[in-house]
Amino acid sequence: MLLHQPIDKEGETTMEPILKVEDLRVSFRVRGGEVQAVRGVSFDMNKGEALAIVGESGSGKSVTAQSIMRLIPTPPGTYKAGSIVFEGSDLLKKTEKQMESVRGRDIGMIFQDPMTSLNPTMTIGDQITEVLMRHQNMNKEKANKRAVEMLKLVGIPNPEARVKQYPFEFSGGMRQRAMIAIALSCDPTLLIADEPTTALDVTIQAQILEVMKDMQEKLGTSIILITHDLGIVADMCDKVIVMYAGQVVERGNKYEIFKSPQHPYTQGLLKSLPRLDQKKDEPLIPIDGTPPDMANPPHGCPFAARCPHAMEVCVEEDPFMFTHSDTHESKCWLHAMPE
Amino acid sequence: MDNVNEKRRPLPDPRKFVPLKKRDFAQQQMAPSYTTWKLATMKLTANKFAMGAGIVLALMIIMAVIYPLFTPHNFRGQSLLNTFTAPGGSYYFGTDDLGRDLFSRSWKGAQISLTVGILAAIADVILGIIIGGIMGFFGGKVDEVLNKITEILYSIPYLLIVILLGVVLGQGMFTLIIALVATGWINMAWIVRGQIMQLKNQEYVLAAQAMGSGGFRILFKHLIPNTMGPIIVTMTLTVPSAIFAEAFLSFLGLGVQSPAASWGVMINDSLASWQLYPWTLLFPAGMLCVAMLAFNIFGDGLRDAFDPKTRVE
Amino acid sequence: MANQSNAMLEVDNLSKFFDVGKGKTLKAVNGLSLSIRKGETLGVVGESGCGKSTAGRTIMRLYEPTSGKALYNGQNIYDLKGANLKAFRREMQMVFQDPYASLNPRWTVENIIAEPLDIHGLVASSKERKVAVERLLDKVGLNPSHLTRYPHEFSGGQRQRIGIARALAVNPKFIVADEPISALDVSIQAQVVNLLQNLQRTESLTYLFIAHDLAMVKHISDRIAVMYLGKLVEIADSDDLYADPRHPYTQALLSSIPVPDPDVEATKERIVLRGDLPSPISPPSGCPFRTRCPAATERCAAEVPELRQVGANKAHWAACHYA
Repeated sequence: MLLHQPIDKEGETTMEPILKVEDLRVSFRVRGGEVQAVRGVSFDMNKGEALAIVGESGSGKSVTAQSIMRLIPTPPGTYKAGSIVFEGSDLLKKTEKQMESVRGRDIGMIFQDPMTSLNPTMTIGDQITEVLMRHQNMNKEKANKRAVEMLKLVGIPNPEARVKQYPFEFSGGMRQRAMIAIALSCDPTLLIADEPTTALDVTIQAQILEVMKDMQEKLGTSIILITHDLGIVADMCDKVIVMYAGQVVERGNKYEIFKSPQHPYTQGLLKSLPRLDQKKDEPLIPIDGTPPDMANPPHGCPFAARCPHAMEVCVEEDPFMFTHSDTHESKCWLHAMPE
Repeated sequence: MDNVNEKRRPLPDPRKFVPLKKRDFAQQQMAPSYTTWKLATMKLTANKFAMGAGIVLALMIIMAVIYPLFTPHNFRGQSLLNTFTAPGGSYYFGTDDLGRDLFSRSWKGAQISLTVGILAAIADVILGIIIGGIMGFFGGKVDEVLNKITEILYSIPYLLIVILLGVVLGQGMFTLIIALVATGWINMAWIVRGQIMQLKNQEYVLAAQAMGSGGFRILFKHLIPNTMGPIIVTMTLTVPSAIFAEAFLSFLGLGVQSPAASWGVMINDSLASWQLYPWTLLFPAGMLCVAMLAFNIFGDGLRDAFDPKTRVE
Repeated sequence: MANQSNAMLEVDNLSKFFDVGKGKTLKAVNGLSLSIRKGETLGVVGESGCGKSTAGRTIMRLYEPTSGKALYNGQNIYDLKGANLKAFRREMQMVFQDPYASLNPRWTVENIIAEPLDIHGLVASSKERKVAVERLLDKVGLNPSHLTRYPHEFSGGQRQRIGIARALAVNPKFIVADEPISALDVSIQAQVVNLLQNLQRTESLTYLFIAHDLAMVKHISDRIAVMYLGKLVEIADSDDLYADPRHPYTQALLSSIPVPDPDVEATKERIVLRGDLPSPISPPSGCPFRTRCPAATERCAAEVPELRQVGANKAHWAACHYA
């Protein structure tokens, strides 16, 4: 699906993915048991790509993203199995000290709530220069200049004055822009955006998505976008991973996912969404039931209880991942129907 | 389509590829149901320290009532032949300078201390809920005026109130209770006010309004029941501080007066003799410490039990 | 504003200001006029701070208005007192946004749903009460045997169904739904919307549906009102509003919403508005939208645009000098 092969710094062509997650399993200890939040997630992404991880609350999409940054608090969380290979080394094997130099420098992250993820007692400028001075060994003066540049780049008007202001003096949209400026200040290879626009109004969301697309174009940053909004995925991303109950149930490029979804869950999600460009009278087709309890995940396919096509095999055995094209896979027994 | 990329397992039996007949997602399985109260009880019983403290308190309360069954001596009775008897014989805790039985005096003291502590706490709760409830529920001007009044009351040192009340009403247990309540309820009122102000903005209160519910129904059915957790916790922590205040004031001679028994009075009585006859200090002081500790541990246990963030392990 | 004779609810120049201290007022709703016909769904959309929730609550008379009227079947609801007000409460009910905060956590489902029955004295015995609650649970697609359960034992979608059952308990005619699905997961939203639509048919309900998700509002509503900074900027039949938005804000809002279709997204011209929403404490002079409007002129700063009929359809109104 990549039309152009990415070129690495030496100018050699390479298809080595920058991020390769394999069989990631993350659990949380809770009263009387264990919640298996992520149950064997695998994917990889290439340089410059925008990858969407789509799912509902409790699907494990945020835990997956936080695992890449190693932000899961342990305990109660544990990395049960798997590897996260980023630029050739396994992040799960790194020490906390080594991770500190990855976070912010090689991988940047922005969160849903820009108010709680910014330090309220530091100016926006200081929060950017802090990162730059730690990771890039810049002196104060150079870092300050770069901070102004970054704010300008993400479209904050009057950046020379704005760097001296505190987060509470910024509106929600401006805070999220500042967050993006901080995350991108060290020119990271990968940006993880965890529901970056969920707390924002649509007209502000449009601005933030614009900024992110612009940044990706200018800086060549790879982006992992965690979202529940399929509209944003269609707008922003090349590749899509659909998660349900801690597993990847379907993956593909955006045309495959939106035009020929293969997993009943993906199909159901698309059918349950109202579309602006549709006539009113077509009723929505909801997905019945509720997602399973992850402290006690069901046997077989986790979606079987809500699936309109469920078969006996579905409640007995975990489905295989079936391949539909080089880039398109889905985890459903319907693709193994005997003749 | 049959391109299986997972070769580890064989494909399942083809006969299983038939539509699932039995589906029952209407029948959601649900875990056993717990109310906040049940959950709090469960957490409390799982907390060994708090349960131990609770048992100690229960025994103390029972003993404070039934202690006369165990001793032939009266807490007032003096026996000048038996001054400073060491513990033993029919004087389990020994006697003091007037030959009074320290066992019955200590338990009589427990009776008075616990009565003062518990009555003061109950009176605090009643006044606190009413006034704090009014402040929180009506807000605005009512809240402003009441808040100013409580602030003024709070600024008067309670020792001053104790002394003044002592002059007017005569010194004794009930004067003490009134003095403790006079300042103690304010804390409770502020806690209730804060809770109610917070709960008032919950959507279920708005929902009750939208249904046509009147103000008092909302206050008594929705708001106050939801503040019971913090109220009970504050109450269990008020009791030991009231007990200590009672002992302290009686020690200073501002509370219960000798010959009536109270831990504070007994500690004061022992001041001249405790170096020679240590039991005169040991028993009342020891019981005071045990009571305070037990109430504090039990109160902490209750606070954890009502805290939604803690879990039963 | 169009004065339909068959209007069930007629809001006339309604304002609700909040005193925010230091002599400042927040004009949450500023001169809102609209009417709702019996049996229809009027959607109200807008971004946070546009006053749509305050409008809903003022129409429910949860807030007393600063000025203006709301006629329900010809009677001004702000004049109602005592028994008449209580009777009005039976006619109009509300479904809330947050399915976690809108149910008393200490009450069983039975007590929650029966609360309006108790308040209005509609059940004589505890047996009758239980039967009524079971019937309501069944109506909203919940298991009737769950009436001894507590709210925290249910998922968000199920809780929202409990909230709907409670609203239906007194057989209301009119329901104000204040962002009833925005706290729910995507796959659950459609369940709740379908339930609301089915109930509208079977119980002959009229809805005021408040939301920020324009796609969902368009799906459920017959007509849509767009609000900006406390003012109504455009109102039209929902297909009309989508096909021919006249107010520049409506145009920007429609183009901002990403459509789950990569082909549409690839070709779409998106109008990205400059800047942020101004504070409703000190709104701009003239047209409230002029500070972000791509087509603003001097006239917009000087003159407040009146809501006027635009386009061919008589039901299409917009408040823009150039619409």
